[in-house]
Parts: sequence; structure tokens; C-alpha cells
Amino acid sequence: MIIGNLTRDAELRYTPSGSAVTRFSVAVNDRFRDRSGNDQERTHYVDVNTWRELAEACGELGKGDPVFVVGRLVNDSWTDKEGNRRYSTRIEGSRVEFLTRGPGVGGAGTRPEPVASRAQPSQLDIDEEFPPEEDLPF
Amino acid sequence: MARGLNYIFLAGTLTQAPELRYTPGGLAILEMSLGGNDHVVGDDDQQRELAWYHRVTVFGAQAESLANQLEAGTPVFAEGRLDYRWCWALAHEPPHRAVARRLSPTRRVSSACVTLSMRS
Repeated sequence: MIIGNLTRDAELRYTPSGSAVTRFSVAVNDRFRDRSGNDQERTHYVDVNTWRELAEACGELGKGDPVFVVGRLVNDSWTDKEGNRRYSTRIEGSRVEFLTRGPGVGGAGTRPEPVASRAQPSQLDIDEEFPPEEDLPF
Repeated sequence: MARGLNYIFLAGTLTQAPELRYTPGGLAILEMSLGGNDHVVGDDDQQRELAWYHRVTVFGAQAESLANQLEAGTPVFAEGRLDYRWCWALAHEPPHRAVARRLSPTRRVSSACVTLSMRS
């Protein structure tokens, strides 16, 4: 089970047999205190895959949307064109709740700020990039 | 070191408007009734609906800010623990409550999901 925000819009596709498949990536903010007593923030990225009715429902999810996902952790491995062994880990979602953004309604998963994109270092101070919660228009 | 596990997740809709109270010490308490309708499959392979209702409580600043956002019918997601008190039972109230650490309104309660299995 994870709670986090989508890093980009969900991608809804159909298999040749007509089943809907939606993939999205969720950024999960993690806060902890390091050995020297400083508060640290780290973001984990988790890929989620959903099927059929759930996939159709998840197709409307957009970048930054907060979600709660229940599912199984699945490991995959394959050999790419260059002959390298590749691995991926994702969640096969069995249930997705669409949370709402807004101040004062909880912890990391419902924080209103969209997380920094993958290209940027994760140590980036998110609070500097975005206005404080009370300045947001919702 | 953890000696047990008490962790619950609820997604449903509020059956009544939440009630905001304060303790004599000034702590805000928001009390809600949450209900849901899950689809389950039993041993007989038949799918059926399983309705549930729970009392949910939120404390502190979160309780105050949520009080204005929530009303009867609001879809809600809650994460927290289950609490049991004798005094609630003695006051003829349900003895169990979910104390939510995190609670937020949702866009809707998702109906599309892989059906829960209750098979043994």
C-alpha cells in the first residue's frame, strides 16, 4: 500500500484483445531524521500498473494527483536489444483511491506540492520551489 | 520495538455531518460516521455487497480544518488505528472507533477495483 502523487499523467492503453491497461508513476515523500538530528526528505518513485475497469478509472489521473494504491509488488526481468539483463519492480494495483489536494488534511501523501521531476536531484528543497500551503488556491 | 500491529485503512462516505467538540483542555475532536459498501466473493463464488459503518475520530488542528470541509455524503479516505474503550460501551456507544492519523476527502470512492476475496 502506498500513498503519493503522480509524477506525470497516467497512460491509458488497450491490449490487442481490448483490455485496458493504465500505467503511472507515484512519488512517495519520505521524511526522516538523520544521525545528526536534521530532518531529511527523500522521494521514492514507484511504478503502478492497473487493468480493466480499474485501468479505465485511473486513465483520468493527471500529474500531481494524490492517490492511495493497494496492490502486489511484482518483479520482472528481461534481456534488452543490447543483450543486457534488465529488471523492473512495479505494483500491480488492485485498488486505487483518488485523494484530494488541500492544506491541513494529512501527511506526506496529501501534500499539495507536485514533487520535483525525475531529472532534478531528489535532495532538492521542495519548499523553496513552491509557495507555502496557505498561498495555494485550493 | 513494535510489539503489535494496529493499522487500518477506510474508504467510504460520511453518513452524517461531522461533529466538532473540544476537550476541557482545548483539544479539538472531530467525530464522524463513515460507511461503505464493499463487493466481496465468498466460498460459494457468489459476489455480494457488504455494507459497513464505523465511527472515525480525528484530533487536533487537523480536526478543526477538516470540520469545514466535510459534510454528509463527502467521500473520505482515512488511515489510522482502531481504538477500544470501555467507557464508550458503558455510555451505550459503539466501543470501537477508528482514530485517524490521516484523513482526507476523496474525489469519489472508487468502485472499480479487483473484488475482495473472502475465500478461506
